[in-house]
Amino acid sequence: MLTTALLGPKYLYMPELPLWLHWAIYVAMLAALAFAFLLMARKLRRLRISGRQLYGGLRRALSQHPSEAFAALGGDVLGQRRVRRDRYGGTMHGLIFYSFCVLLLGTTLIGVQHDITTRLFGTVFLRGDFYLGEKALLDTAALALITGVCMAMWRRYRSRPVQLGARQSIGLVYSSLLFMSVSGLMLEATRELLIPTTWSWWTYAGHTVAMVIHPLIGGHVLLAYETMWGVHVAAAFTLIGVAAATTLDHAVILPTNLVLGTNRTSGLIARPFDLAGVLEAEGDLENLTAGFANPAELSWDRRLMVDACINCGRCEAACPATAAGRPLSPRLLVQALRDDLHSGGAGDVDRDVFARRVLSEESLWSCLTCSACRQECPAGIDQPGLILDMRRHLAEKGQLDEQKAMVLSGLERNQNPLGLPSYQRADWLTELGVQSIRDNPDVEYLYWIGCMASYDQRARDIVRAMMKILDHVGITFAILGNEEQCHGECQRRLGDEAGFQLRTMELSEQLRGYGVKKILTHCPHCMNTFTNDYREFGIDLEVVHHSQLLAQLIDSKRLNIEPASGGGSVAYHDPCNLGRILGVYDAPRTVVKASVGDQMVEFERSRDRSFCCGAGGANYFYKVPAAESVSGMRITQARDVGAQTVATACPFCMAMLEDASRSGEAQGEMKVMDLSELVAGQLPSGAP
Amino acid sequence: MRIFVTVKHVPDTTEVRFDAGGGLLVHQAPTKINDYDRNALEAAAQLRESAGAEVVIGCVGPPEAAKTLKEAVAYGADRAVLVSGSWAETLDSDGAAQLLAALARSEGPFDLVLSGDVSEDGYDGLVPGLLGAALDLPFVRGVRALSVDGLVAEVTRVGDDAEETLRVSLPASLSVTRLVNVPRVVTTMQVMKVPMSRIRTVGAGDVGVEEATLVPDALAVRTLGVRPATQARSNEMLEGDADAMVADLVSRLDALGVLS
Amino acid sequence: MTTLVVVEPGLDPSSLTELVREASQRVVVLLLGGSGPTDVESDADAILAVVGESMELAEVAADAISEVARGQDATLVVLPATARFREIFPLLAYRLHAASVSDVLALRRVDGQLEAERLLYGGVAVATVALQRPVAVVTAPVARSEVGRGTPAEMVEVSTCSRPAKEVVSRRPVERQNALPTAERLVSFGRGVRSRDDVALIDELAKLLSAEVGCSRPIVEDMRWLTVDHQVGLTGTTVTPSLYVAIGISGQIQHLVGMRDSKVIVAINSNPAAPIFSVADIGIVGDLYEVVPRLIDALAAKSR
Repeated sequence: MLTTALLGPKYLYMPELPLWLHWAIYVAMLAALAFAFLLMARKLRRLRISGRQLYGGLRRALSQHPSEAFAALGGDVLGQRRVRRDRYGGTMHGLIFYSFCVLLLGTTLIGVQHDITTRLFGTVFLRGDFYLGEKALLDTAALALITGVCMAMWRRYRSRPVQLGARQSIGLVYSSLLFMSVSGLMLEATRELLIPTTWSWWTYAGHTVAMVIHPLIGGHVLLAYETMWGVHVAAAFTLIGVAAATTLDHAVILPTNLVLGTNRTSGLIARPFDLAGVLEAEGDLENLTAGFANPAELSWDRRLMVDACINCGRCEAACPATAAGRPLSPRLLVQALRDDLHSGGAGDVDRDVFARRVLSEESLWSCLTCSACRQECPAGIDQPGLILDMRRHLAEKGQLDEQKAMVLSGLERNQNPLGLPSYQRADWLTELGVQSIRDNPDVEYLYWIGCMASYDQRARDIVRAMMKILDHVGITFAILGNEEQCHGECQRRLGDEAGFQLRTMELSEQLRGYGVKKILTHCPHCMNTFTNDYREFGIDLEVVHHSQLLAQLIDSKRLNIEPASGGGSVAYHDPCNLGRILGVYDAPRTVVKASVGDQMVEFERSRDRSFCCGAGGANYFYKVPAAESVSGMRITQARDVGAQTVATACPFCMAMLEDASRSGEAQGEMKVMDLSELVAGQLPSGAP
Repeated sequence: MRIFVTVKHVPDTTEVRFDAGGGLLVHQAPTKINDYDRNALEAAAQLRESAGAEVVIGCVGPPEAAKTLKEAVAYGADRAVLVSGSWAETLDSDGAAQLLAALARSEGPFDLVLSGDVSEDGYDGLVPGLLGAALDLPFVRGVRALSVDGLVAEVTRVGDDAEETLRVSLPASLSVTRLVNVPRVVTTMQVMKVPMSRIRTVGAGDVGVEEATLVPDALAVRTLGVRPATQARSNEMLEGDADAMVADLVSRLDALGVLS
Repeated sequence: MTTLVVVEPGLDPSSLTELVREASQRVVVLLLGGSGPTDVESDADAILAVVGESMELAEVAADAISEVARGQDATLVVLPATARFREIFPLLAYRLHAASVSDVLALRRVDGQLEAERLLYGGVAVATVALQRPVAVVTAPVARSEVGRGTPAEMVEVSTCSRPAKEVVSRRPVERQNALPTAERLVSFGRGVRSRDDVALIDELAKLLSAEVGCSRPIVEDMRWLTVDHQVGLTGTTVTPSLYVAIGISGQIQHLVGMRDSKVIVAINSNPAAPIFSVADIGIVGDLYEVVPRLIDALAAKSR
């Protein structure tokens, strides 16, 4: 029965085990399970999550997004995808997790054999070489588990990385796991001493322990065996209890959150309300609200998400704001929200997390929405979404400083965040003879110039380079001209959701009016906004980034350039929006490779680990106090890999990095060039 | 306490310009609340919050101004009244003051009339004083600091060469500078939530002023024409890298004799 | 057509008398005095003065001026565009039921109709307006002069009736830090300068040029790095130096108005489309963080 499931039939050699003890062990086991269940229920109650909600959410995830849900379970849980991103942590956790799974599987097989197959069909499958191999595997798993726990303890108590946060009763967790595995080996050892076998070397770990303890036990083998038997049973029940009462509950909560996460859109683009819908239906605007003032206001599944934070600090280690000494650590932010949730939240509903000093407003504004944290988080927490929602709350209350207010008023009055006259937007292009889409609707692309290239001198160089290339290969394009207005990405990131939604309505009408289907842009922020943010508003556009177009032209041999020689190494900087958020990594590299050949080098932090330039989350338009400059750090990283030029694919990255390259001792030594400039420089001379 | 705040609906001067043919493109420019009036609105809103004052906004302008008044009300006012008509486009300060005074009388009595020192389109600075005189209220201009205690306002203003503190008995008319406070940020959401029912539009006749006195011929000041304000300059743009341009600049300035 | 030009001790009426010369047959200067000397240097047809302690209250001053204006049959009254007179201005206009505009650039009579020119929209446009009332009151810029020089004025008795319910409780003379109006050279900066610490760069350049430091409106009103006496522009100070260096200033029209009359204007801005270049004699398109340090080095080398 169940006791045999725990201990194995061949090893149930307890001739004096009284019947009452059998039943007592059953009861104890049920009690342990019930205890665990109650603790979980209590946690859910504290988070105000009902069983029905939980069930409903899981069911929805599995029925409506089955492939994503199973991908989460398979990839992140079973495959430990994100956990493995850190080598030490991944190894350590893998050892513990996989070993535990193997041991659990092993014991389950024994139970299945004893209670089901033998009892019902009389078959025994745990025999022969298969059985021996399985035993060896289990021994290995036990050793691996012990190793993993020791690795974890070493890291936590000796090397103490700064981002590793404290965890509830972690010592108890380590002890229970060790207790379980060591007592298991001890049990195996004493059993072997009691009933020697010919194949003891297969259970090499137990065998080794047996040889060691043999002299210590002397003649009291049966007593030793019976003691270890009881100890190991106790260890099992203890582990169940500990799992529910400590941070070990992540084994249940994290997979649950990962599955529930498939029901949610990324927080950065999730729409808190549909303004167009409300206006059309002439509904009541009073109830329109965005963001949250206190974590208690979060939806039940996001409360669970916040609770899932295990304080591992991988987000903090990846965060460029933290690295620059800004007052933000995603870990501390989520933990603060988590603690607040557990402490019963706000008794005084009129005061928000800022008034109650749970969080500082500065920490929110320090965020670059680069999403490095969200990417690293093994628990599937959406930190940028939480931050944006709190920014929305501040914006709703009008709690924005003058710098941010100026951005919003510039957008409203002049259609650009810089507050520069709208009529100066495209005159420079019209003077160059560029056609407007109004007069030229049948072109291949609408070239979206964007606010940076419209007003920033250096960013205009990108457009000039692109024009040269497009003319060279014969691709037609037109612009919106002075009618072009900002799509409002910075507006949304500043928390002015209503203003942003009004803007989307205007823009979509404008683009629809011109029958625009395909947009070419050199700015990843513009591309991200049109591709992701605008999609939720039913605006479906094909957006091509200039790196993608250039790569296409190069691959199809429509554009043939020879790589430049000399000039030093060129490091390609992955823009957060283009890389991590839109997943475009290879196209820009094709372009850089074609332009500079072997001189291309990679940053240490590249691709999805790229380090933000510091302009994200509307930070380009306001200042946050920091120990160091984020962009300055990236330039240093470029120097560290010996680069003399940084290749960028984003006008903001270019502005930030060029700016940073001019300060500090090595002023002006690092060149910053856009991809288009690298290509245009390699066009055959005499090209139009 | 009852406060009357005057707000002007002005074009954003960043966007006002002349086209190639010399025509003034002021109608294409987006409109906004005069920045100085924002400070007045903020001062009134603060008094509303601290002393429970009732705040009524008065505005003279074209019918479209009603929408801008939503933003004004969102600062923290109880309601707004817009006096509008076809004469609004060409109205002068005198006419505006007359209408505002009539409005204040019909909506009044008020303890305090708050305005911004000037409006960003004309920079005349006439209306607050004319309004005060018409309502027979003591007037102080250039207020930098303001506090109200019962029926007395204490204001600070910086004159030509002295900082003066004055005690003014209410009711009074005060106009404020942009340094009197930092206006709060009013977001799109807050503006949208202001119901149009809080904004009333009336005609000149509704406040007892004959429209005939507001047509261009009958006004005190009438605009005859506008032309671009330009000036002939050499407009020489230097070339080369930073070092070259700086060297060029220094030698030119030296030659012009402006360096010593 | 008599014009009344009003000043107070320390203000020079000559720019005002020049302004109205064309539109007037007779010019009378009125000194709104306090308790000091009432000498005025002017070639006007008559020089009058009213004194009295309560003249410090705008309502009382307006009473006095309007009485004198009526007594002189003035059809035009000109006030200096100073803080004190800007407060008196609307009160006087009301008392005289006058047509009034501020900051006039020019005055003339066309077919008997008095016309004025002034700036609109912060300096984008020059408007020509008709003053359609029997009496007109305007303000115009005026320079300072030494107190107590010139001809003694003729004292005039007035019976002011206003007793406004306000009183001055304290008066703290403010150091006339405003060196801008008389500065020979000015180095001015705007939002192109990114942080308060960087203002030191501007200070250094100004020192090398023996120039005063000025700035644009956002620096005073939004960033609050400098006080308003450094502000150049429509709502700040109008300057007329022989050299004006505009650094990181886009040239919003409110600013241009304040420095347009400088002899030589140099503009440094990274945006070639910045309006400042349209009024500059010499323009440098570049990053001020690259240009200004080099300029400092070049000037320092030169002075050695």
